[in-house]
Amino acid sequence: MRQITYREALREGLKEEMRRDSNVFLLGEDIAEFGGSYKVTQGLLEEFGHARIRNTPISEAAIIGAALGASLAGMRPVAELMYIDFSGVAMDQIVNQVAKVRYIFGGKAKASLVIRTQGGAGRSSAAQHAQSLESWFTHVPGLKVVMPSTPKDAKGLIKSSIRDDDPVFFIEHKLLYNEIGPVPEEEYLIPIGKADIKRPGKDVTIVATSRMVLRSLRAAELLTEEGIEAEVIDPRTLVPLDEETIFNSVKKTGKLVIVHEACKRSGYGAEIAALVCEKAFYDLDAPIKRVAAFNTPVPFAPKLENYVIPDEKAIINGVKELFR
Amino acid sequence: MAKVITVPRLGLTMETATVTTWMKQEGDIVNKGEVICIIETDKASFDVEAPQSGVLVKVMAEEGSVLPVGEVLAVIAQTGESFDLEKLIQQAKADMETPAAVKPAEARAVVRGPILPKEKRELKVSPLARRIAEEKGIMLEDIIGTGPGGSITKEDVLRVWEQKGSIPTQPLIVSKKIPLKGIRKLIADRMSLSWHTAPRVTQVMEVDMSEAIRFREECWSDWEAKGVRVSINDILIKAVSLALMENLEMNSSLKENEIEVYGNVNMGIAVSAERGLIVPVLRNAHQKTLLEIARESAILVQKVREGKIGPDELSFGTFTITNIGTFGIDLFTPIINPPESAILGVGKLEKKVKVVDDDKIAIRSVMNLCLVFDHRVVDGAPAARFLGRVKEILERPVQLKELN
Repeated sequence: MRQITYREALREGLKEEMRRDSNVFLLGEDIAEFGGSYKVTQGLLEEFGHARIRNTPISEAAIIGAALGASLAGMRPVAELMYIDFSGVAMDQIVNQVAKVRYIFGGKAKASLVIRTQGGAGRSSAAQHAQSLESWFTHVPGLKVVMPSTPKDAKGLIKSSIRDDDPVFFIEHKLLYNEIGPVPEEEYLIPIGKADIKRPGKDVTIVATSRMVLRSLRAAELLTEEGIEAEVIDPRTLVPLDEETIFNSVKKTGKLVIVHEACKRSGYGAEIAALVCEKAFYDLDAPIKRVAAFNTPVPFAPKLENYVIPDEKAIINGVKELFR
Repeated sequence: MAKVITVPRLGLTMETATVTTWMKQEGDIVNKGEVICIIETDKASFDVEAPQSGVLVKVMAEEGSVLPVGEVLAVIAQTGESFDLEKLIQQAKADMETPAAVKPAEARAVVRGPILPKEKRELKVSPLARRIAEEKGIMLEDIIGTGPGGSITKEDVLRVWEQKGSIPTQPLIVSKKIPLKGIRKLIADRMSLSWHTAPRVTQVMEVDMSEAIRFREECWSDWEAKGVRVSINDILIKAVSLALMENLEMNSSLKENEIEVYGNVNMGIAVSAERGLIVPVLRNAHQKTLLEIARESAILVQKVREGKIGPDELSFGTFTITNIGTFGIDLFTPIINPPESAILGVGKLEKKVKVVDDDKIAIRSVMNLCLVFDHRVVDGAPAARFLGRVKEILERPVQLKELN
């Protein structure tokens, strides 16, 4: 199968959906001529023109508000927030408007929009440009939250998100854009709400999200030297969450390690841990372990940044704690 | 200072206590350590002593009343002292730490406390390991844990399981814990009530059912034409209802100081349902024809099986028939369904070699009728007469036909 980058896969997904449905259009800061901060939308202006690739002022609230308005009028906008860190500026639009309209209008209005954004550390972009804020959004009923880790998942999920009638908060990772992976040339979709077992194993379940999937897979390879076969599960979508796949894996392994790049306190790992305690408690043969970032702002200094974000070693140590 | 005396907790399982005797009356002067009243739990009776000297200013519970643990028994105050009773009571309930001094009343009963293991090691066990140990009947106390923090893991349990030759080490294997609630609780309470209150006598009489069976076969096509299938049970209901109307003392309830004798027969039919034993009541069975009984009992039984029976259809029974002969039981002693005075158990219907009227040997279909009755209400002779009358009707079923 051909290998392309996460960035190219996303761009293909956007392009295909725009060709398929003339109601799909993009809006965001510097997404047209400049091609977006991380160049996902590069080249789209030539094919689709300014009417469908719209640059916006630097106002996140306006971007999301305009996208919501367009969706209520029947369009399927894909709004880009340059950094997830900036979502705070648009929080009222996202939480009180986008997530709520379908409910408060009794289902008569649909907010069929996608909010694309990216988060994560690793480029020394410091405390205001490197956060992992997914659990802000998983906590808000009415939003679907998608977090792909591979080029193939990114393309299949952006297409499903655009076609979804509910608002989807689509979180990319700045260090994944250059990651290369196999992506089919023929059209495919990846359903929202279906986890993927990235690596089968029998001794311990690792549930990891976004970039931590890659690190967990490398950690799993290293763990084989210790005789531990880890199963790595990527939920791919946090809301809705494919609980079944996680429970089935825990039933098999009896041990659960959750890895995410967001800081540990009130991170999404707490939600997964609680669900497993509530619904699969008697399959647990060891305490649940969370491997996550320290509860600190992401430091600017690269050494410190690497120190607070979980790496392969932290994951391996986390797993080994469950084996005494 | 005024002090409230509450019902103390005298054992882990203790929920309530009955006030049996007040040794002091309201207004009496009491000295610290003096017994002011005697309370009784399900296990023993206890003296409640005055925690301080003073005047017993308030007695809050009558003799015979049942109070939950922590409920106020009395208040002791000093002469002339004024106090806010409500506040005191609230304070006492909030502060269960200071119960009244209590010692077991000597020679009245032996107090049995819960049996606690001599040494209780705190075990760290993974939920999975605990589950497997329970399933396999392995004592966790015997296992050394090798998991995180010395916890017992699945592997540890399985290792011990194999070492012990895959045999349970636990003396008892609890495969399931069923909460005693709902219908199970109701059955438990009512059966205990019956067992502990009614001095019962069982009388067994063998009945020759050959004629009843023949009668049923003869009428079968007529009945079928009317769309009704009459069972042996329906015939029994009819026969028993007739016999009850002639022996009304069997159709009664003991209420406080009198026996209520009923003029109508509401026949309880014991049905084994998924939820447990349920007894729907066929009202006014004595006025109904065999066909009406057959129709109604079929509907009642079906409703029970489908869980659609209403409370109205489970109330006001005056007598109960329970048939487990169909399970091969020869005879048994059912428990009276309170507040009824008697119950009829029906045993297995089978062919037996019998000596008949003219000293010949014949093969007859017989079964046992087991009458259990409350001897407080009915004596042996009238009960025997009643049972004999049931037998007579069943052995000469032509009577049923006339009344069909």
